[in-house]
Amino acid sequence: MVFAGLDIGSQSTCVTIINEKEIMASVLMPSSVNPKKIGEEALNLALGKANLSRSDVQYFIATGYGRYQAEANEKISEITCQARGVQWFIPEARMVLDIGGQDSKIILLGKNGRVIDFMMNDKCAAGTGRFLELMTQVLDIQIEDYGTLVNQSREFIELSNTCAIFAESELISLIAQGKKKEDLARAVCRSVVKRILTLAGKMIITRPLVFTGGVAKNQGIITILKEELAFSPLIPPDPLITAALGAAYLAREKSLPEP
Amino acid sequence: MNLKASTALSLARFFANRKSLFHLLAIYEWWLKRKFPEPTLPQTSYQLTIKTIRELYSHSRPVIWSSLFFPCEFIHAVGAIPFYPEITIGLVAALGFSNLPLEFAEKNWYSQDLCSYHRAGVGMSLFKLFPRPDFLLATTSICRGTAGFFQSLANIWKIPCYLIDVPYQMTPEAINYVQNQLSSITTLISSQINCQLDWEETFSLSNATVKIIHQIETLRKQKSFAIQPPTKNLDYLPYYFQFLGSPASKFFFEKFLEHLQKLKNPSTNSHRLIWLHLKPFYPNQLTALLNEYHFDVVYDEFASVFWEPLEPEKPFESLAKKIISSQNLTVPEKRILRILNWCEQFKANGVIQFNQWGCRQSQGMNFLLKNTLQQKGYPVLLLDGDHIDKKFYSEEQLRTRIEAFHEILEG
Amino acid sequence: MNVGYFCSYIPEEIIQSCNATPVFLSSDSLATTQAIPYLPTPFCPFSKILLNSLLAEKNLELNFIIFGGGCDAGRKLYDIFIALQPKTPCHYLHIPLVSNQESLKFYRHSLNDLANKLLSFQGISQYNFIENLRIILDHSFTIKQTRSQNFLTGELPGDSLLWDKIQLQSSLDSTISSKISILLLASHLFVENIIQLLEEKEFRVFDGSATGMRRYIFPDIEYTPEHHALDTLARWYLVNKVPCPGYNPQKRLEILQKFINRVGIQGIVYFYPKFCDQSLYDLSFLKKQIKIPLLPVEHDMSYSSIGQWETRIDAFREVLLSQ
Repeated sequence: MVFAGLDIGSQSTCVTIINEKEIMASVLMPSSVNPKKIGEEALNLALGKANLSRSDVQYFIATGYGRYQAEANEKISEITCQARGVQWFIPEARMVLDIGGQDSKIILLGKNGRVIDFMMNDKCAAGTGRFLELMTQVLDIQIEDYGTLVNQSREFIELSNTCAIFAESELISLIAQGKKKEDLARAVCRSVVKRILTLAGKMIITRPLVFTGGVAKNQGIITILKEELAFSPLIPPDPLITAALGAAYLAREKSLPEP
Repeated sequence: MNLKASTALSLARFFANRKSLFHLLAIYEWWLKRKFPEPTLPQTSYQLTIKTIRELYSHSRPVIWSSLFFPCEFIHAVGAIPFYPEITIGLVAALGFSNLPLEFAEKNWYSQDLCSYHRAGVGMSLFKLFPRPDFLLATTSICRGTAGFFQSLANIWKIPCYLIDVPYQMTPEAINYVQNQLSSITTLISSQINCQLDWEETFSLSNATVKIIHQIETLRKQKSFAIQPPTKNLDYLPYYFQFLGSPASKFFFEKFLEHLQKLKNPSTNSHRLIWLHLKPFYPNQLTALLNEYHFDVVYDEFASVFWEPLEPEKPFESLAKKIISSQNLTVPEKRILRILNWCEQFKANGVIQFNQWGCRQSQGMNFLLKNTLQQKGYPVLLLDGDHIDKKFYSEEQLRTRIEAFHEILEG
Repeated sequence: MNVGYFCSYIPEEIIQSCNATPVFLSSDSLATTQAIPYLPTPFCPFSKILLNSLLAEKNLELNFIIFGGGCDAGRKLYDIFIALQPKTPCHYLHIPLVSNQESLKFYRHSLNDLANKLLSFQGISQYNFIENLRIILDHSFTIKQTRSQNFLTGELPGDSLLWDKIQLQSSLDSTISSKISILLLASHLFVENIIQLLEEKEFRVFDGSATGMRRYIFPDIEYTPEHHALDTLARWYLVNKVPCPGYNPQKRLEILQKFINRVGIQGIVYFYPKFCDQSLYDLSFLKKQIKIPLLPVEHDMSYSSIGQWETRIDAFREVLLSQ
């Protein structure tokens, strides 16, 4: 039997197809202004990859901000789906830190893997991938460069502004003062991490802690996160598909009888 | 919080709770007095600060926390040591680490949109770095957000908060109301500590100090006179609020007056400003920018004397009137009238306010303030930002606005 | 005479006793355009909407407006309004933030002042006013007491304007017992729409908003006709009413907790307006003290973030279902 999960986010759309045992296919593509259309496109691509048709899908769950536009059997919030998806890879996970392009979430899980509490920041760029992107333009670097630069940094600089507009201005001043690119890159990464950890601090940081979302691929952020947490967060093999995977996993749970 | 910060915090907390260590500061104070028998103004302030730290943290007497407009004369008269968290937070910001208590408060569900003085005060209390209070006293005058702040402190320190509710207008009923509340609080405090209730000495010191403050104001009214650097007077807030009614405040202002009388270089700056509300206390470029554009600050609203001389024969009535009078800083018609008078008396040609992000009462009045003052011919500069939370500070934006204001005044 | 008011600590009985009609101010429009020049950005959105209505809709056929409230925004709203429209009869009622003998006495005095001002418009004597008030208190007491008792047992969840509709819906809904019971805490405005949204998400909603519990529920209300009518009224509103955010947090917590336990509330949804200090402190207190899940949802009294609300509400529902 086959189950599908669709995550329509503001920046990317993902479909994951699973059977009783494994991931059969996964597709990730940029979102568009038409969530319904992009959802269907992504689903068709994923089905094509797995050599399946729509009728093969036993149960289909949609998640993400565009979930209500999708024609799915059920719509579930990305909080629950993200948590479930993380558990596919790391069943013992107790906390999820998800930093996406435009929002960030912290999810606290109980011992049974169920969501106990959550926090979201989807109102401002601080603590999201967007902040990192905006600052790459000021620093004249690529997003992938953060990892190398953070490791080269020697001087501690703190950005006092979390607002992206103010931070940009502050960064320009620091460049004008002759501060090194690597030190500024570290300051930018630190700003994002501190923001998310302030949010996370409203719950209690619990291990094992799993880091997901597009920003989980950013080496600079991973380095700073390790320093601030004083331990290494776990990162799933593909941190971008966890919400869609979680949706598919839930679809499977709802279809198969309990063991 | 990372390991380094966490360790530093634990150490700070360890020392902050060691009363006996602070008793040793008395030796340092004695040594300072011996070394500087005729202290300068900065040295005077430094010595008084060391003494206050010693008294507060060694808990030599009961410690009473109060809100900014709760009259400290009351606390001195009952024989306790006043601690004003809102003032001390300014010092924490000046030392450059207000971000820590602010972040910690936010983690404990105190929103970023709340006043940063209060948030940071909560944060420092959660850290247990401030001296433990024996009593919490607050008024609702000026700002009702203070009530929420002190109620939060009550939960953190697990002691009750005594809140004085303050009406906006000075009527006989209002005076009676506030007076009765003060009297009730005195009864409650007296039942728990041995109160001296020395109104005579405290009020006499307060009144004498106010006379010196008026003498300083007379100096500042001179056309070529200005305290340098601009906004420096706001660094002396503890003497206007926390120490008033104690020998320390009188001594400080005597020194301050002496210092100002000796100043030889008159100001050549062409623009004289009345400063409203407080200022950003974290390290910033505001003073440098004001100097760069030749601005003097000739008077500060929060250093103004808004009450009548205190009468020891009618202590509660006097203090009640002082508390209600503080509403003159928030009731628009009264506040604006006072500002206009200052503009005239201090020969100011402009007014400036550095907005406090979470301060609804002052920001809520900005339209009326600017509108009325500008109609009377006084340009007003309202700077957006925060006094304690550096997240809201932008040097470039500050420079642009000050420069533009300068051009307005030049024109 | 139509007398507008918006704070639940302003007794409508005072207005009725002066032979005037109380008009609880809310606005169909959420526009703030006219208010924006006068109020700063970080400021209560309710105040902006209210000011906008008062300026734009020519005072909504009101003859008199009573301002009040325990917050700085409420006071500044009054200050701005009287500066912009000095000819409109209005009054600011000081609401004490504390509840003790002294504040009760002062609040009673303030109510008397308010009454005198209204009476001067109506040409009614003080004697007649007190007589009217006594009759109204007699009538009002029975209603308030019954509703309070019913509310605390969950039989009649509040006396919201909506409750007739909601009760009817509930009686038709045979699956009501399977729905998750939540307590909605919210301030003025928006409440109907929020309740509708929550009901669509399959919650059974108990209305703890300003238009629900806070106006009509007086848990320990007492009435002794021989006491002076104004003393009784002052006591009802300052002491017996469920405290709003910012007033007596401990008592507020006790009443909420009692209600939650009696009715079996499974979660709280707190829809709080941005920049509302009273709500922010209330939220920080309740979040730590109340033992059931609490979902905070910030809003600016517009629907711009409805997608974000839905995500949070959906997730909250999923959390509660899994418990």
